[in-house]
Amino acid sequence: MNNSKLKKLFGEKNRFIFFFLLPGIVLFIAIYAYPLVQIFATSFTKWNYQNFLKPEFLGWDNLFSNYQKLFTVDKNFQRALINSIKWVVLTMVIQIPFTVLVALALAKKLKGWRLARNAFIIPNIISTAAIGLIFLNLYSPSRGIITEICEFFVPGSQVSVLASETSAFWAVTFSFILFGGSSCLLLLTQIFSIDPAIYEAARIDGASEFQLDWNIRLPLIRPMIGTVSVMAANYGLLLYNEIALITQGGPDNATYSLSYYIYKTAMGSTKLNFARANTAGVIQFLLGLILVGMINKAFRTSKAD
Amino acid sequence: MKEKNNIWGKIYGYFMIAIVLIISIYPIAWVVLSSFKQNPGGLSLPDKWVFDGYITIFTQLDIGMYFKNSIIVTALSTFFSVTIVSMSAYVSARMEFKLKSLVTLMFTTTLFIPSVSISFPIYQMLGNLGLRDTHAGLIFVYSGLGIAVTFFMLRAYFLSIPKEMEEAARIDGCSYAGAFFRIILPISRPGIATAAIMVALNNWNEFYFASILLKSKENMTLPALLGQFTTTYAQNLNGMFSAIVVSVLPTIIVFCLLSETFVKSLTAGAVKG
Repeated sequence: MNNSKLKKLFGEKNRFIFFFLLPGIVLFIAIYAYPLVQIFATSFTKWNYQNFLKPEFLGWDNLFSNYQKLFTVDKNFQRALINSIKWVVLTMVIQIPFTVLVALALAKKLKGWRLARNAFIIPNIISTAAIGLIFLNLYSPSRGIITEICEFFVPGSQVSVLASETSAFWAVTFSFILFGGSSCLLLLTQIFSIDPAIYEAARIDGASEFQLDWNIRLPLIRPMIGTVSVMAANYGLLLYNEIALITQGGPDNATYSLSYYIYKTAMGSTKLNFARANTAGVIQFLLGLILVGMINKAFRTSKAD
Repeated sequence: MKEKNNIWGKIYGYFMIAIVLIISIYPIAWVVLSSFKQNPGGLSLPDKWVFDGYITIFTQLDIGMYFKNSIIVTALSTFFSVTIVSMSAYVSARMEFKLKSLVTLMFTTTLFIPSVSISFPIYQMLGNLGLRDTHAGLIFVYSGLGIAVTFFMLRAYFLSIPKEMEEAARIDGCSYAGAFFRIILPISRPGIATAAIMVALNNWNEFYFASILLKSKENMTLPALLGQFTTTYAQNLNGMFSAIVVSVLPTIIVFCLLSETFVKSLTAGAVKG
């Protein structure tokens, strides 16, 4: 009697677990697992617009031929890779320090700090499609402001930001690099959670505000700086929207990113090469893992958290 | 000495506040002003305020249709995503079973799989299913994006609810599913709302999949429409500027009204990478 009751309960429980997990597992397989396996598998095949229905295995001798070609022949990929790495580095050396400085300044709760915090979030919560389009217009020679400002300082300069390779790269960079509003919010939350008693002790010892920032707040929010660094670095690594809207990879493919390369190679041109796009996807995925590992290691504090 | 320190600290503080306000608000303010100008753009204020752009987008562009598409896609995908993930998160928070750690691992790994890297297989799969240029296809993809963050948020929330709640319901003869839907979901409303706001915000703004999957105008969401302006409608500048304003305004208004709720959502969304 008791035994059968237990059995029944057990049955119900397992059925419940199964049916409740099923939709999540289906979603996981369809949106993540299957595509991930596919990009790995097809990175070892010849698969382009000529044999769309039938990817051909490259054979054990040429197993890594797609990878080889990307790194030796494919100029667009190489540019995309270098740009993406540059954008990752730039988020680390511009966005993160800037956001930390803003957070430390806002944490002093001067008049208007809350307004500034909320305003800073706005560029992060409106669509990047809108942001991209706004910057496209700001950079436009005929209706933008950059050309007009340059004209004021150097009459007749006729600057066209998106026409040169270097300035187009920076144009894309500055359409996102200063917008660290959500990260700033997280850092602020962390700063506010520091026990005020710690400051009191330091103040009695005569520490200045700057010393408090440098010696107390900064070390204490270090793990959170690590977290927002991971998010920012990922954003840099995956950059797509700003490029699609502002430069479309140009001029002369100078502003390709890995994401833009994948889109162009698999879906956005005439001579599609699916195997190569998926190989680039594998590389992007692996780079992401390496980045997370590196940043976590750099920001790990002595205490395990 | 101390006073001096304070003054410099204040100057620095206000300087940063000013910089943040300028870089955050200027681009949007510029677009709003430009949308009312006869010749949009430039640094000046409008000398004559025109509303042509707004009239055009509501009469000719039919921006209401894009709004409707965005609302349908966002509402349904957020509903599916939050429902499916909350079911998994609940099982992972409350049930003891053999493969439990595998389930948690599964959701954790999604955090490390960038959707762009795997976008071609997804694009191809939706093509095979005949869902490429449809709302259903986009809703399907959106339901799966960002599930790791939602999973950990909701799991933490479920763990914070005392176990006695369900135990009492179980003793009263409630099934497991009954306890979840009748007891847990209602109490978890605040946590689910926090997660839903974040999911909805991401899906409302999503551009990459919207732009590669949706090709016909009548299916496009607002971000996909904005993507079109780089080429097709660029001749009608007032229209373009007005469309940008109208498409970002709802988010900004909702944010201003519910800023503390948003702040909570955005803070809760930080998952250690």
